[in-house]
Amino acid sequence: MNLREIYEHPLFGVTVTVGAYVIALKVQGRWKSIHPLFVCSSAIIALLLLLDIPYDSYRTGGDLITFFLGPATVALGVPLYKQRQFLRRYFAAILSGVTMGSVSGIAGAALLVWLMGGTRELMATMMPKSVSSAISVEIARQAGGIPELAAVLTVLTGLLGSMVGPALLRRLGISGDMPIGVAIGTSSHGIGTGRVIRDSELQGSVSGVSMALAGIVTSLLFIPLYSWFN
Amino acid sequence: MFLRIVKLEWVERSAELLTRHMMLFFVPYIVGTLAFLPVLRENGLAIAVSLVGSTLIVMLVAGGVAARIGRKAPLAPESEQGKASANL
Repeated sequence: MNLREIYEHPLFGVTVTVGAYVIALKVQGRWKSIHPLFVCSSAIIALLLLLDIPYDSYRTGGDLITFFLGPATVALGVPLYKQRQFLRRYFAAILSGVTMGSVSGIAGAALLVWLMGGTRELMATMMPKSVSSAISVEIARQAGGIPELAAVLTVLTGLLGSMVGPALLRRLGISGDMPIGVAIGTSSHGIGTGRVIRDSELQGSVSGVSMALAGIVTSLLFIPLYSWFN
Repeated sequence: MFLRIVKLEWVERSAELLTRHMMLFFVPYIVGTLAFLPVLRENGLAIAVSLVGSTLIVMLVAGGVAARIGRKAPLAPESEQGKASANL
């Protein structure tokens, strides 16, 4: 069996991904500050580049893994249910945080792209990137951005927030499960939620609610904000 | 579940398994950004600056506002910081 036969097998992507993930968790066990997603993804990228494996071969297996995002998102309902009283008590705070955060994020992205001399197309692509990719891609498409690029930026945003978020927030004096959950869920959607739910179920459930609210708020407010910026 | 048809115990364990390893399911997407590196390079600086900048803005504003308003919430027992149960 040569290399080509191995990497063209659908299970190649699955094996590599799960294997890299397990190793990444072990690495995190030793050095706490290293983000497992970062380790895992860069290891896979390095492997694909080194062995000259086409991305499409990896993707056949990769798609089998991303399929589970659907069930996992539904499974977020369980922690939400368990924390329902907490969520109800802080609903006003969560909603205000999400709304203010989303609005300033959209405005901030537009402003920064404009300051850096980016095109209008790029602006439309950058603005919705803090909500989960299904929503941000659609918004970008309708606003005249580049949907594929929007998907990539959304993923990178999630990775960034997930990597630096919790530590940065703590350093700036934003603590407590509720504010951290709101900040992570609003800024870095599912990838951030997947990160904080490992630390605390409460943070994870607030983050899950915030991510959903951010999707709604962003969809509703995007068009008025976008036309205002043009 | 709110209708009490499904018992929490039935779904709790499998749901926890899924949510705890939710990050794993994003890995192929992140690897997928690889295919877009050429596009990113074109407008690299503008993208990088506004990506980092606006992500931080969202995080700080959302967290800050939520913290300020949350302080006024009725009876607020600041919950225990659940520590990581990172086995595996």
